[in-house]
This record gives sequence, C-alpha cells and structure tokens, in this order.
Amino acid sequence: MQPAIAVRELTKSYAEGSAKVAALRGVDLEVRSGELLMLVGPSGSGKTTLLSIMGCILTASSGSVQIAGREITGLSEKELPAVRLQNIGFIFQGFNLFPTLTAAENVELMLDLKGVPAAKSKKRAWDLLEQVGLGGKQDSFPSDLSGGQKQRVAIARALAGEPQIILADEPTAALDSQTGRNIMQMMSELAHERGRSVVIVTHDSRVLGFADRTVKIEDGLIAPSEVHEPAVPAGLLVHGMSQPTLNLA
Amino acid sequence: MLLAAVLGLVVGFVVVAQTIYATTVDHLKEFGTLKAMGAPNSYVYRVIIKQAAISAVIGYFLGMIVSMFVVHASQKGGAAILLPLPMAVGMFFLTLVMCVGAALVSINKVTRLDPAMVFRG
Repeated sequence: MQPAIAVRELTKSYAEGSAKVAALRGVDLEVRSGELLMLVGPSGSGKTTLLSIMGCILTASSGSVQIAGREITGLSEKELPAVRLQNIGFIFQGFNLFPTLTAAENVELMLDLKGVPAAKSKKRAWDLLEQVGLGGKQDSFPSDLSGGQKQRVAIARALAGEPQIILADEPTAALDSQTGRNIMQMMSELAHERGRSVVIVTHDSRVLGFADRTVKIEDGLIAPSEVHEPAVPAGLLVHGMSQPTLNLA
Repeated sequence: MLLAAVLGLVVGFVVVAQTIYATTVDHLKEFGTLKAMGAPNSYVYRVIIKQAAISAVIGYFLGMIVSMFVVHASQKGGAAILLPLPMAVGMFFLTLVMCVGAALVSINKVTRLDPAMVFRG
C-alpha cells in the first residue's frame, strides 16, 4: 500500500541576508495511512519546515514529495492550493479561527471552499461539531469558547474537507494538560479509527505517548537513533478514557 | 468646479485605498489561513472585492443622504444645488469603480502573502 506522504532526499534552504541557511538537509520519511506520527526536535531543527513542505505550503529546494502517490514537487504555486484543499487538513497552534464567524461558520468556510452547497454545508458543519463534542456551541463565536473548544472547532474544520492527511503544528501548546490529552485522544482516533494520516509537530513531551512513531529532527536531518515505535499502539493505551472524544456513530 | 471634482475623486480613492489596505493588513492572518486551507488566489480576491463593493454601496448611500439634505437646504438659498437622477446614478457607479480599484492595492499585498506565516504562532 502506498504511503499517504513520502518525502525523499528533501532539502530546503533559505536566504538570510547574504548567507544561505539549510533548514532541511536530505530528509527521507514516509507516513502511512492510519498512522499518528510525531515530529519532535529543538527549535530551528526544521520540523515546521518539513510540515510546511508536506502540507504543500512551502516548496522544497530539492528532493521529492509525494502526496497520496502523486508527485507534487514540480507543481506550480497556482496548483498547490488545489492539492491542499483535496488532501490535507491543518490544525494550528493558535487555532487560526475567524473571529467574526461562529463555530459553524468557521467549519462551513472549508465546505464553501470545496463548493458544497450552503444548506448541505450547514448541516455537515453542525454534525461535525457534534462529533467533536461541541453540540450546542455551533452558534458561539471563538471569543466565547475555551482553548480546548477552539481547538475542537479547528479539528472539525480540518475534517470538513474529508482530507486523508491531517497536519498539526503544536496543537496542544496553548492548552492545559487535561485539555491537551483530550485533543490528542481525538487525533489518535482520527488516525486509528478513521484511517487518516496524522502528523504532529510538538514540543510537548506529555503527548508523546499517543504517537505510533516519533521522529526527531535535528539540524535539518532525521536523527538516526531517534525513531521510536511504541510496542503497543497509542490508541490502545488510552482506550476507555471518559472525556469527550470523537463520536463516530 | 471640474478640478475640484477630480481632486475629490483622487482624495477619495487614496482614502479608500488606505482604509482597505489597513483592514487587509489587520486580517493578514485570516487571509494566510484561507490560503493554507487551499483557497485559490481568485477566492481571496473575491473576498477583498466584495468588501470594497459593500463599503462603496454603504458609503454611497450615506453620502447621498447627506447630499440630499444639502441639496434640499440649498433650495432656500441664492444658489440651488442640482442633483439630477442620471448624475446620482453615475456617481454610484463611479464610487463602485473607485472602491474596487482602490482594493487592487490590497489584492497585490495578499497575492504576495506567504501562507507559511500561519505556522508562526
């Protein structure tokens, strides 16, 4: 089975003044369907750059990137938004919700981008928010929601386009421990019960136990001894938590 | 009189352009998020142009309300101000064109926006 994401010999360099900075120096990585992969490493190691390239937000300097078996490295800037829209959902550290839109409208925005008719998108948005435990909050504005609730709206929005790949940049950084665990439980279910490929960049050591695989990035390379695969999938370790999780009924 | 009208148009254009530009800059994070979600540039342009058009319509009607008062008041004075219907209609379209044209400055800003900025906290 082909991997959902495959990067080969990936490099990325930035110009900083007259100097050239190598953010990634030859990364090889595959992410399988139904896998929750965590990218860890010190600040400036290249984690977010790698995530951005996987997410077709940044283009690589060299190397190959395949999304769902399709080579995307040769695509133009105009073609990349369509790849993101069809295949990838994003979850951000700062939630990145639109403050003047309600929770449901934030989710509907993704559906509007995909051309879903208004009546259908409203129903789907409401259903998705129910699934992430926000029934009754569909008409709330982001300013009326807690951090955990905002991140649930962000998850619902990321899922609205039915992407195969979910990319999350520090999704628990702005959340307390319990809320962070609840969010990670949802991410784990997205991978293990919905078959999505979930890639998370994190500094949060509290959530590493949820990963199927942890990859450490250092100085733009995958540290050779730092690929951990837990003996028991993290989804099983946290099975049975009583906190609100995804309702997959 | 014509020079005053042209100057008024130029000043109006600059003020609208600056206002829409300032609003766009204030919402760069939202535009960046839209682009990261997969919105093509054309979608983002439509958002900005719609915003400019709505501002034009609201501004025009507010301006016309004030103008009607001035026109009405001038009837009692020595020099009545005339505002024939074709002129009022023409002003509407001119206002629309001016506002949408002013939005082009903001469109340029958003076109060059790097969607990777959404990952910077």
